[in-house]
Amino acid sequence: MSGIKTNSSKQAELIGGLLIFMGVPGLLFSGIANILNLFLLPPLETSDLLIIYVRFICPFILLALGAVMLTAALKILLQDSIQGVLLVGALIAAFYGIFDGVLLFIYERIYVFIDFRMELCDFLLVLLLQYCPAVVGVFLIRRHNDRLQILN
Amino acid sequence: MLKYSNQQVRRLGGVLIFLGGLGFLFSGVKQLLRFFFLYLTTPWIEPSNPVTVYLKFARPFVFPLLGLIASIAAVKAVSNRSIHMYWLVGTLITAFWGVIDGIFLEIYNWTYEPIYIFRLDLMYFLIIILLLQCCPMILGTYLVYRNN
Repeated sequence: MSGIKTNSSKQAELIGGLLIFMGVPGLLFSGIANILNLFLLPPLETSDLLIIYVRFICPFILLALGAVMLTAALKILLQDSIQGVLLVGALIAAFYGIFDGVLLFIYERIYVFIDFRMELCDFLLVLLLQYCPAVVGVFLIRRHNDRLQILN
Repeated sequence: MLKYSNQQVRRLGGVLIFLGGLGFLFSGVKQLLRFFFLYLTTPWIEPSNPVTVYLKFARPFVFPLLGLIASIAAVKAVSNRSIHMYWLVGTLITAFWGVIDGIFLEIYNWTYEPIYIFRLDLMYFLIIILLLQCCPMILGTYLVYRNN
């Protein structure tokens, strides 16, 4: 991020970085927790695609996207130069988090049998506190970058 | 060796505190919601011992509060605002509380959990809570304190 940095642009960068960072624990920690589940719980043989996705594929995607989002947030917060690809990666990670939340909600409705209202609360909490701020953060940084380019 | 400015080290400290603090905050808010949900939907049962009181009534309130303190300290550190020592002490308390609570839960669950669930809980505690939340918070607090 080169160019003139005024106080307001620094603030935009800071707020954007913090908002992106809010999505990191959700992706990274739940990715690691799901990988632990995969290796430490008794093995499961199933042909149901939803179970296969949630137990075997989703944890690794979550971990990878969490790492991308963490890198993007760290680069922004430590005032390092950031490539557009990394921002796009962070945006994809945030949207994937929302998509995964919806899928997990459906999965729990079918297989886990927790109270519907509690599940809905958990889902909305994750959405409002983690992934929506991350999406807003990416757009804030993007706008801030465009403004810097215009100034240059 | 790379040389970082004080401001950058302080920011890095803030980011490390934020990593742990957000984890505590999110899990605390989730616990708090569950507490109110169960309080509103299930019949009242008188707690029988201090451990139950802690698990059912103190934990859902302590965790979001400590997580909030750590997150505020992190935001202050990252934005290079002046930060009072109380915030850093609060962050340290949060980190050590996380460690003590995790150890306590492991000992408490030891007796009646199946071994594979206990193993899973133990790994979860060691990797996520200890390694990714508490240790970064302690390290971050030290970095912020050194460059305050």
